Amino acid sequence: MADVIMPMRKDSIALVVRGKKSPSDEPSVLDQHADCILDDGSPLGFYGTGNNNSGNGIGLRMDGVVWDYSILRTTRIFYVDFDSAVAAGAISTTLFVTVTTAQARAFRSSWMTMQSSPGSFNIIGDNCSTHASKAFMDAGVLPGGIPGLDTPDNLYKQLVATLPGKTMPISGYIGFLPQPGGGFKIKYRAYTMAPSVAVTADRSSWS
Amino acid sequence: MELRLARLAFTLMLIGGTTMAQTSGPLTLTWQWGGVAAHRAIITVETVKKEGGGFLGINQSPSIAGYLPDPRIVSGPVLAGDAAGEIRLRMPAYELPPVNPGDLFAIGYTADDMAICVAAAPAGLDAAAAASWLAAWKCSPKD
Repeated sequence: MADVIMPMRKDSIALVVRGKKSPSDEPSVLDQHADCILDDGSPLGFYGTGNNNSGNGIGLRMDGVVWDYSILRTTRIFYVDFDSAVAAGAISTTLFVTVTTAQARAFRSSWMTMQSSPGSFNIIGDNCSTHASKAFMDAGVLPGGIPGLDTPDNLYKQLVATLPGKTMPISGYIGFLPQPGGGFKIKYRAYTMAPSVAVTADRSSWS
Repeated sequence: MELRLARLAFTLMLIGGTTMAQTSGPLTLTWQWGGVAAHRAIITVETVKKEGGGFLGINQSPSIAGYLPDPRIVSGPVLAGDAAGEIRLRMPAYELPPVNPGDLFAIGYTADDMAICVAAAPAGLDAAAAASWLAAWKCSPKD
């Protein structure tokens, strides 16, 4: 499958579920991470960093931090650089969401506020998907929080269920190409999960 | 009074000594992509291990800042370069060249102990030859 380079549509924003290999894939909770894409193609996401509080070892009472492209280049190059994504085997499913100009602006504004004041991080209930969800709610794209456990995949499912006809998924290796005038184009290579094959012994010749 | 001061000085010395002993462990380096190599060293590889994920594997959640994909721990004593003692390097498997115990392994790292480039060094170098090789080594950050 050929690699695709595409500009970000001005009327869209996106959720990137890291570790989700197809729209129907349901990765385990600890194999997922949520990033987002702004309407100019900028990638960013919410992460937890240690602060020596008790509980850090199990993902609790950590400091939150918003990483944008420039930080992701040094900390998670395989999330923003296409060739590195391929080398690392980093597959994501990106869900593009069609929005109004006002919603795209509000989505960006929510992320900028989080970036300047990220608050805390807890792996349960106050994680990457919780904060991505907040941005979608602040933008008026979603009416409420994530049904069930706050996970990237549950947020993905909520967006698909809430916005019929307004979402488009792509699955594969993804990278971001900085543009001279600002913003990013998106490069991706589609990935197709091998179907699960149930292997059953042929016992017809057994006596 | 003098005896008390002497005791205090002795106690402070012991505390200082203890602190120094606690900080004299291996130099611990963590991987990042890009940066300027302020230091270089060659180690003789003792171990290459797959890192565990901690309690319930939470340390290996990609939402945690310290996450690296399929991390490996490479450690060994310094043969030549800007460090002494032992180096313990944590890095993703996909960036690690083939390396085995006994091999010589070059590491370039930043002023804040972030490793940014590695390479297998030629076998059989002694400390002086390793230092020469290291000086000529082009540390190419993975950026």
